[in-house]
Order: sequence, then structure tokens, then C-alpha cells
Amino acid sequence: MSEKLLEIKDLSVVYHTEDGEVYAVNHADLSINKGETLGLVGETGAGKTTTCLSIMRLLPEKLGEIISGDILLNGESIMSKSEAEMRSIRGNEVSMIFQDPMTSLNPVYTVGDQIAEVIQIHNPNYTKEQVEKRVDEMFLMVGLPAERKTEYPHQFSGGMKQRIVIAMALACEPNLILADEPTTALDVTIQAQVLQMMKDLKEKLNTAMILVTHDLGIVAQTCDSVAVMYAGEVIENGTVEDIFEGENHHPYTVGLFGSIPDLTSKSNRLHPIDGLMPDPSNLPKGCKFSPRCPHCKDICKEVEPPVIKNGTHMIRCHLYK
Amino acid sequence: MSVGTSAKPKYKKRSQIAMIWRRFIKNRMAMIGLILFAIMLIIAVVSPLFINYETDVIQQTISERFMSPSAEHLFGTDQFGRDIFSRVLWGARISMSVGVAVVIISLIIGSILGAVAGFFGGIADNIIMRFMDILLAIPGTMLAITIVAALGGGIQNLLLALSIEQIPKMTRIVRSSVLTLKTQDYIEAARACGTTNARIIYRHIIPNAIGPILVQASLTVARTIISVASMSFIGLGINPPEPEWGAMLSEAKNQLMNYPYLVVAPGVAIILTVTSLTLVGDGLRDALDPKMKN
Amino acid sequence: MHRYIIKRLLMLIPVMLGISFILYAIMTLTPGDPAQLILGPGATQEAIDQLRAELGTDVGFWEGYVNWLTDALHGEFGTSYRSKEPVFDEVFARFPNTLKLASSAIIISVIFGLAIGIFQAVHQYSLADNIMSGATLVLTSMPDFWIGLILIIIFAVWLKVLPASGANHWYNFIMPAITASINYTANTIRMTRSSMLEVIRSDYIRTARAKGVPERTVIYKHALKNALLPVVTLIGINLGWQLGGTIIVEQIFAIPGIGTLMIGAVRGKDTPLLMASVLFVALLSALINLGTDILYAYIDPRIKAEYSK
Repeated sequence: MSEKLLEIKDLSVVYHTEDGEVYAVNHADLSINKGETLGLVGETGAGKTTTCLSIMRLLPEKLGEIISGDILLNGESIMSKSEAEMRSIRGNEVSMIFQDPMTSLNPVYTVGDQIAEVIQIHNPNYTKEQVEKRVDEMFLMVGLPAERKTEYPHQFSGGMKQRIVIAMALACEPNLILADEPTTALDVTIQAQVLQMMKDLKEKLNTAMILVTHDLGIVAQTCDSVAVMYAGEVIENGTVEDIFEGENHHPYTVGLFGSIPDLTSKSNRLHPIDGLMPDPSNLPKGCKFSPRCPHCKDICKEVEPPVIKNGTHMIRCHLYK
Repeated sequence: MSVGTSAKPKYKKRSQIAMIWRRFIKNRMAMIGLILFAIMLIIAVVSPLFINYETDVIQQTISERFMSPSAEHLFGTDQFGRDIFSRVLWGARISMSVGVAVVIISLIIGSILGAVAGFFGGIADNIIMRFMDILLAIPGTMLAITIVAALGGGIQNLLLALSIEQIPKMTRIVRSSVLTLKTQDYIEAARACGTTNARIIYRHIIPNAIGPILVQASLTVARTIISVASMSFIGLGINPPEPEWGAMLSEAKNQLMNYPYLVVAPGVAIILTVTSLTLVGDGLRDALDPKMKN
Repeated sequence: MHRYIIKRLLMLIPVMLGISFILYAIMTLTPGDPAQLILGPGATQEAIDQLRAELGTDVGFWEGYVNWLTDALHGEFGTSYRSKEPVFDEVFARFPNTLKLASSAIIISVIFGLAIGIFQAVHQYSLADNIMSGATLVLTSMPDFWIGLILIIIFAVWLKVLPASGANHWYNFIMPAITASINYTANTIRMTRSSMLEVIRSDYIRTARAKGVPERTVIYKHALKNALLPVVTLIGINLGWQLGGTIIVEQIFAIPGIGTLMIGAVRGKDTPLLMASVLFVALLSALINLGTDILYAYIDPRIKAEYSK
């Protein structure tokens, strides 16, 4: 067995907003091994981004709060770490790539400076030349000419900006990358290029990655294991084979697969999941999926479903008791 | 966590105003401002019911001058024995009416000019906006002061001068609203359906441009009240014995050595009115553009 | 960039022409005759006519304006009707006072505006932030002349530490500068705070934090430079505005500046003097605004690219 890099145990996060408490993540369990890729799948608002921000301990100040659970990085809890210790982890051991490359680069500094900054912070003994050399290497690595490092973000296209963001994330060779829908904001053709590049680089550097996406195609292509999130809960979790080829599934996962077009199947209709995700400030009792579930029983509306484990495959549902 | 945009544009015009209003009343500071402003406005309207202009506001009674606050004279009396409380209340009438009149005048002229410039573009736009640039290029209150100093004081000249100062700002705001709206799909759609220009302006553009205009209007009333007071203070506005707040302060200036309390009441009246309008304006702006709210 | 600057400078020509025309119209089409005013009510018609001919005010409106413009284009802005001094001698004699007042007011407003605005943004919703927000709101609503009166009562009447009027010593400017700066300081605070808050919420600030950048650097390097953009514009507008807006402060503290000169010129129907003083201030403030826009381009590369087109 390979070594566990990150373990999330019973994580719950709440946002204290003007309109009341929003339960963004509820008792989520996740783990990822060194060098592995975990796909984190779910609708918008399922708590995927919040989970990633919790790992970075970058939840919006005063607004977001981790109310229970623990996050272990290399076996050490990050919950007890000081802000200074967290800073030495961010960008160095764990990096995050955000969704929208158009807005995630600072418009008033050159892209080279922004990459150099992360190298400098985590390698304070580097000389200026060493930093610059590393910046050039990173440009090369993501397939951009190093001369362009003196340009500003507005001079690059969306795909190029995301390459720069990736270069920034990889510059200190982190053990873990949190990629929050890294290709959603890009054109389809660029999406494929960027994904392929991320996959290659990740293998080259032996980095683990959590890939947040709602594109199941991407998951099948790039991930080793998959976790499906719904209303802040991890409702199904397993290897890619478990999820794509396993027999039993959570009804939500089934619905998720049913709502993507399939060229090979004869059916000429998609099967969307009825209804909307519940309001996270007012979650239903029992199973959170019960109001939309085609197999809903009385017990689902009252009792939270248990975790059913079958080897590497985990499902949180009353159906398989 | 973005709270979903739940508004369905079924009754576009009505629901938008209702939504802005809902956000506005949730804003505590804005509501305080609105209530404060409403109180000042009511005072301005009803003050003639219990204050007699001739005997309470204007008549000088030298034997009663510089009296300390008492039940009869809440804020005391001034150097001519006039009741300061009555004068400050009456002053609200003057400041409010000048403020509102300036907004109405500059709004009407600014809206017409801005709508024409924005909607038709081209030469009309160029002529109007270059003229506005010229007016805006005269810094500070120089233009208004020049006009009043040349024409002489009095309420009409003051209105003229302050409106001329405000028209360019209104024109710019209306024009930019119109320009943004002009490219919206529903305007294109209306035009494609053969709707006349006048109807597009009246039915589509004005209801949607109303928000920024309201914000500017509330801030303009606030600024105008300060301008009127400032100009009256230097003797280029409303002249004593009218109980305009700035004019009262101008008279009080000569008594600073011995009776400094005379500057308190008119000053506080100005601050309360202007603060309330600023709160309303800020609240409206936040309600219009919730992402700007901090 | 150079093309942009030249274009902006060329655009000033019609604006200045427009201002001169409006001013000339206000001065000559309103009631009152300069010759009559100078000679007083007892003057004979002959004397008045003679003075009119001397001053050149015996011609019609259009002819008069064209005469003024022709002279102005030759660099001749004329002499004051009253003092017979070249108008710019008078303007330059007064201008240092206005400049001292306006620039010290702006310096005060920039220092306090930025410092307090940033502090508030960083400590959003804290008790200090709430108190300061309330205070700045009230300060923006105070007429400057009223602040001036209150300062005079406190420092000149009660404490007797500062003079209530005059412009001979540096300490004469303390109260006027504070008076003139209060509104601008409050506006700068409000603008800095809201601009900082908006920037702090942006994605690139989150990126910076995710890189492990220390919070101080996040605020003062990543956020501040972006947040300064609208503030720089505000400061530029304020300074331009101040040059023409110190009139009232000059009046309260009896400072012989451009504002006092200007009011005297309008009242005395001294057309050449008024035109020179207002045009001078308008040109200066336009140049300051242009300067701010150029500075803006140096802060924000996107704007620079826009200008270079």
C-alpha cells in the first residue's frame, strides 16, 4: 500500500452569513495517497471548493469556520498549526489552482514577478539569479516562452494565464495540488491541452492532486479515485473502477451519470435529476438527497444514512444496508 | 458563497424596484437616514403651522437678545432677539426647497441632454458633451460664484447658478446609463420590433436608468444644501434676515468672541440634513449594486 | 503614450476657449458697467465715456470678445481695470497663498485618508471601523466654513494659540488647511476603505494567500497597489477642485488668495482680471488631472496599454 498523504476526517464547515448559518461541508471524510489523483465531483455548491479552502486553511476570515473534524497532512494535523506554519505549507507543500485564470492573477504585477514571489518566499536563501532561473524553467515547463515573463496578465489569453497559474502552483514542487475546476473557464480545445499538461507534469513531479470538477469525462481520464459530494457530504467514494464499473451506486451518482450525454447509448433523451440541491442553510432531515431521490423510503427522511463499505468502495445510503 | 439570484424577470420593471427596496430596508444605516430625512422634510413642510414667519422668524426684539435656552426659546435667542429654534426650523424650508428645486431643474435638463447625447450619439453627443466638459473644467465653485456675484444674490440667481453647476454631472450619468442600456438585448429586441425611439426611451431606458439617477439626486440635494449655505455665508446667496442656515452662520460669525453658541444650531441642522441624505444615497447605491456593499 | 498626452493637451484648447467665452458672456451681459463702478455715482457722462474708451468696454459684445481673444492669443491678457497692473502680476501675487492652502489640505487628506482607510478595511466591522465610519460620514456632511468657525472658536477664541486670520506666517495656514482638508480627508477615507475591501475580496488576493505570502505583504503589496487606482483619481480631482474651491476658506480666514481676487474681480466688473484668474486655475487643474491620468497608467499596465492604442 502506498502512503497516505492527506486525510480528512469528519470535516464540517459552516459559513456565518447575514442570512444565517450555511452548512457548506458536513462530516466529510476523504483521503489521498502520495502521487495519486482524486476527483472531487458534485454540483455547484456541494462544498468542493470549501473543502479545498479548508485544507489550505484559507476559508474567508470570520465568515467560514471549521466546526468539527481534522485534516492530517503527512500524518500531522494542520488544525493545530500556527499561521506562520500554514504559510510555509501554502504554495510549498500544498498549492491551489483556482477556477478562473482571468481573475486569479494580480493585474498590476508582471507574471514573472508573481511566479518569482512564491519561489522567493519558500526559498529565502536563493539568490536573485537562482530565482530567475527557476522562473524561466517553470515557463518552459508549462510551454510558454520565458521572454514573456516581463509581461502583465492582461497580455495573455485565458489558457496561457492558466498555464501561468499552474507554473506558480508547481514552482516549489508541492506534494499536493488542489485544482479547483482548473479548466471550466477555458475553451473546450484549450481545456484538453491544459489537462493533458497537468497530467504530464503531475506524473513527472510525482505530485498528488485533488481535481475538483463536474465533468465525469475528465475524471475517467485523469483520476485514480473519485469522491462524489452532495450538499456538503461525501456520499460515494472509491477507485475510478468502483465508480465507473461498480455494481452499486448512490442514487445521486446514478443521476449524475444519467445527466451526461452518451454517444454510444441509443436513448435520445438525457435524464436530469429532478429538483434542486437543498438550501445549505436549511438542510433536510435524514438523507440530504431524499427529497430528490427516486428510491426514497420513509427511513431516508428521518435517519441519516450509514456508511456502507465494500473494500475501497464507500456509499452513504439506506439502499444497501 | 454566493446566494443564488432568485429573481425571475417576470415583471421586470416592478420586481426590480421591489428588489432594490427590499435590500434598502434591510440596510439599517440607510433606514436611519431615510427616517431622519423624512423628519426634516416634515418639519420643513409643517413648520408654518406653529411658527409665524413675521413675528417668530424675522421680527427683531432687541430687549430679548442673547437669551440662554429656556422653555420659551429652546435654543435661546440671537443678537436681534429672534428665537433661534424657530429660525432653524424655518431654515429647513429654505434649504430643502432650494435643494429639491436644483435637483429637479438639473435632472430635467440633464436627463434630456444626457438621453439625447447617449441615444442618438454622433454630432449631438459631441456638441452636448463638449459643452459639459467646458462647464466641468471650471474647478470648484468658481462658476456658481461668478454667476451669482455677477447677477447679484437672491434665490432665483442662486438656483440658476447651482443648477448650471449640477447639470453636467446629471447629463454624464444619464448618458452613461443610456449608453450601457442601449446595447442590452431587450433594447435591440424592442428596436427590431419597430418600437419608436421615443417609446424605447420612455418605456425601457428611463425605468432602468432610474437607479443611478436617484443616487445622484440624493447626493445632489445634500451637496446643494452645503453650497447654498456656503454661498450665503460669504454673502453671495440668500441674505439676512432670511433664516437660511448659512446666512445665520454668517451673522453669528460677528459674535464669535462673546456668543460662540450661535454657530451650533444652524451647523448641526446642516450636518443632520446632509448626513441623512448621504446615508440614503449610500444605501440606494448599495441596494442597486449589492456586490459593492461591504 | 506620447500621442495620448498630446491628444489630451490639444483637447484643452477648445475647452479653454469655451470657458473664456462663457466667462466673457457672464461678465459683460450682466447688469453693471465697470467705468461707472470705478468712477462712482457722481461721475459725469463724459468722464464715464472717456474711461470706457480707455478700458475698451465701449464696443459690442462680439467685438469685445474678439478683441480680448486676439490679444490673449498674442499673450496679452491685459491689465486690471482697477489697479492698472498686468492681470497675471495680480494672479501670481495671490496664487502662492491658494497653492499653499490647497496643497497642504491635499497632503493632510492623502496621509490621513490612506492611513485610516486602509486601517478600516483591514479591521472591517471592528469597533474602531464602525466608529470611524460614523465619524467620516459626519465629517463629509460638515460644511467647511462651519468647521472653520468651530476651529476659530476653539483655537483662536478659547485657547488663543492660533491667529484667526492673515497669511504672513506658516502658522496662519494651520487652521485654514485643516478646514479645507476635512471633507477631502473624509472622502479619501471612504474611497480607500471601500476600494480596499473590494480588492481584498478579489481572486488574485486569494491566490497570493494560497502562495503563502505573509498577510502584510498581501495587504501592502498585492492589495494596496490595486486599491490605489480609484483613490489616485479622487486625489487628482480633489487637488484640481481645491484650487478653485478654497474661496470660502480664504474668505473665513481672510487669506488673500485667488478666490478672494476672483470675487473682487466679478463684483468690480474687472473682466480681464476675472478671465485671467479663472482660466489660470482651470488650466492648472486640467493639467493636474492629466498628470493623474498619466500616473494612473504607471500603476495599472492595462490603462497604459489602453492609452498607447
